[in-house]
Amino acid sequence: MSRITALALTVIFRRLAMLIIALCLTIAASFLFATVVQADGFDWLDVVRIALMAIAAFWLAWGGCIALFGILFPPEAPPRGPSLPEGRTAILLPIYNEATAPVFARLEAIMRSVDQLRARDRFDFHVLSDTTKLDVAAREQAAYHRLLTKRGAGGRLFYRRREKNIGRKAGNIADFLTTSGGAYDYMLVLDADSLMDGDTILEMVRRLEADPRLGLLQSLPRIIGLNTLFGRLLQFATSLYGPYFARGLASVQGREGAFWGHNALIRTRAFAASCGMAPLTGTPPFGGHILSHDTVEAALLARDGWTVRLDPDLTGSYEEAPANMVDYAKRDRRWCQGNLQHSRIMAAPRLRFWSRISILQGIFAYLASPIWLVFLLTSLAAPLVASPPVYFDGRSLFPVFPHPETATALALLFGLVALLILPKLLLTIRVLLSGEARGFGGARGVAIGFLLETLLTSILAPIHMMFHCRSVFQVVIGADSGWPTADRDDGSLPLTAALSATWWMVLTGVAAIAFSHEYVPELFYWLLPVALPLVAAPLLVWLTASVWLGRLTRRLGLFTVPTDTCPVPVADDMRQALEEMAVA
Amino acid sequence: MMRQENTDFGSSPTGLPQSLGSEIRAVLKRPDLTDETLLAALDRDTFPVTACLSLSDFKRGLGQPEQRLRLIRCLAVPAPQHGLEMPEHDLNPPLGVRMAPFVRLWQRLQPAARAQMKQVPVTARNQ
Repeated sequence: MSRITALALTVIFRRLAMLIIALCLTIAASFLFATVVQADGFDWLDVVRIALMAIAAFWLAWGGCIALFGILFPPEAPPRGPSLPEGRTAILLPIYNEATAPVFARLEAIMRSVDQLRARDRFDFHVLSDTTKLDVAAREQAAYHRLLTKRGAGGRLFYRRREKNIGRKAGNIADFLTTSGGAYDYMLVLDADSLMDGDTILEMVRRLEADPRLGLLQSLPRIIGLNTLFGRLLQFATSLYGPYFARGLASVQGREGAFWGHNALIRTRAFAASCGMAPLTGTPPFGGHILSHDTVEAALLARDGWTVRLDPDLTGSYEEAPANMVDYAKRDRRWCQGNLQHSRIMAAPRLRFWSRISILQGIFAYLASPIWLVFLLTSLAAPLVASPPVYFDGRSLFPVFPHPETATALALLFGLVALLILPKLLLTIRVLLSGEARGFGGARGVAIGFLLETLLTSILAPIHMMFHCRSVFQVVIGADSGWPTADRDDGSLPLTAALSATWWMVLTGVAAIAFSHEYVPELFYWLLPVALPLVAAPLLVWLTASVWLGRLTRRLGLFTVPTDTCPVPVADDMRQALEEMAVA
Repeated sequence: MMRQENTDFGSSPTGLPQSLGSEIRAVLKRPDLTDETLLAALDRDTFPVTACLSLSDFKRGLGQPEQRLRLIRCLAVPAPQHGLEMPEHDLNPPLGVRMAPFVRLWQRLQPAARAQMKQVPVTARNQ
C-alpha cells in the first residue's frame, strides 16, 4: 500500500471516529434532555427544544473532539526541499485604508528578517493597495519611497494601488496574479497585521518545493502585541489551546486543509488556474463578490487535486487581533456575512466532501449562537405552554405525581459543562506534562491562567452570543456590512463607546430577568448566568478593553504567553521601525 | 574614482543613454524594464534624494560605482509584467448546468434500459 493511500485511509478512519464520538455524545445529551423535558408532559415546544439541544450539543462535541485529536495525533514531520529554494516567491501585502506607519513597520521588519537569509534574492515584496482614501494613499506612497530608499530595495519592493477595489481582497490578489503572477512560483499572502519570520518563510518554501502536489501551505499565526485585558486573554487562550486545536484540525483534514486568508504560502499557477471566482448572482449579502474567499479558495484548490495543508508546527508566524470586544464583534460581523454567503456554494460542483464540511463548519460557527438563543427563549416559554399535570388519570384511585428528574437534569448540566471545559482542561494538563508550561509563567501561571480564562470567557460568552445573533439577524434581513476599516490603535474604549455598542443587550438582559421573575420563577436562578453579564455588558466591554488592566495582569504574571518571556525578534524590529518613523 | 561622463545620449529613441539603461537593468536584474519605464523611474518627483549624487550627475554617468549602485537600488520600478490567466469558476451555476452530468448519465443509461426487442429489426410480413 502506498504512503498516500495509507494516509488517506488514516484520515478517513479519524473522520469516522470523530463523527461517531460526536454523535454518541449528542445522542446521550439529547436523551437526557428529552427525559427531563417530558417530566411535565410532552408538547411540540419540547420537540423543538430537543432538536435545538441536539444541534448545539453536536457542535460542542465536535469542538471537544478536535481538541482531543490534537492531543492524540501529533503532526508528522513533513518532507523538506533544498535549503536554497529554486523558485521565486512574491511576498504580498494587501492593504485597504490601514494605518500606514504600522503596516510599513511590519513590512520593514519582515524585509529585514528575509534579508538575513542566503536565499534573499529569491523573495520580492509587493504592497497591493486597495486604499480608497486619498490622504491615506499619499501616506502609503511616501512610506513606500522611504522604505525603498532605506532598504535599497529597488527591483524587490513594489507598490501598486487600484483605484477601485473590485472583488475586495480576493480581487486584489487576482489583479496581482493577472499582471505579475507569472514571474513567481509561489506567493506568500499576508494581512495588514501579519508578521512573519524570514526563517519560517524559507521553511515554508522548502516544504512546498518538496511536495509538487502541495498547492497551499497554511502556517499557524500566533496573536501578539495586544495589551488590553481582552487582548491578553485572547493571546493566552490562542497560545495555550490554539496549537492543539490546529493539530486536531490538521489530523482530520488530510489533503483538504484550511486556508485562513493570510500567513500562507501558495503555488501561484495552481491558484490562478483553480481559484478565480465569479461573483454570485443577486445582490449582497448573499450575492455579489464572495467575501470570505479563503475557505472557498482552499476548496477550489482541493477540487483540482492540489493538497491544501495546515502545518501547526510552523512557528514564527504572527498576527494581531482585535483588542476589544467591540472590534472583535465588528470583525465577526464581516466574517459572519462571508460565511453565511457560503450557504449558496455548499453544493458547488465537484467540491471534495471535506471541503463541504469545512464550509458547513464555517456557517455553523455563526449559527450556533442563534440556536442557543432560541433554545433559551423556548425554554423560558415552555412552562407557560405546558399542560397542567394530571394527578388522576382514571386508572388509579390515588394521585399519580410527575416523576422528578432532578438527577437527570444535573447530569445533563454537568455533561454540557464538561463538554465546554474538559477539552481546555485536557489541553492544560497536556501543556503541564509536556514541559511547555515555562513559557506560560510556570505550572502556577498555567493553572491560574486556565481558571481565570475559563471564568472570564464564561462571563463574556453571553455577550459574544448576542453579538453573533445580531450579525446573523442583520445578514438574514439583507443588511450589507461592507468592509469597515479595522481600528488598530491601543485598543482601549471609552465607556460611551461600550455603552452605545451594548445598550440593547442591557435591555434584553433586564427584560429576560423581569420576565423570568414574573412568569417562570422556577427558571429565575438558571437564567442569571446568562442575563447578568448582558445587564453588565457595557461595563464588561469597557473593563476588558482597559490597557491598564491588561498591564496589571502582566505585572502580576497572569495570562503570560511565551512571547512575553522570549521576545520575538521580528516584532522587536517592527517596534524599532515604528519608533524610527515617529522620529522622522 | 569618478566615472567618465556618459555621452551615449543618442543611442535610444527615448533619450535614455543606452549604457545607463543597461546599468540599471543589470543591477536590478530586470532585463524586462523598458526605456520608458526607466525614464519614469528617473523622474524628478520620485528620484531618490541622496546627498551624494544629483539626478543630472547620475544621468551623465558621474559618481562613484557604490554611489551609483546605491542609487539604482533606490529606484522605484514597476513589478514584472508577466500575468497569468485566471479563469472565473461559477460556483453557483443554474440547476440545469448542475444537473447536466446526471441528465447525461440518464441519457446514456436509457437505451440500455429499453427493451431489447425494439432494437431487433422487424421481420417483414408476407402479405
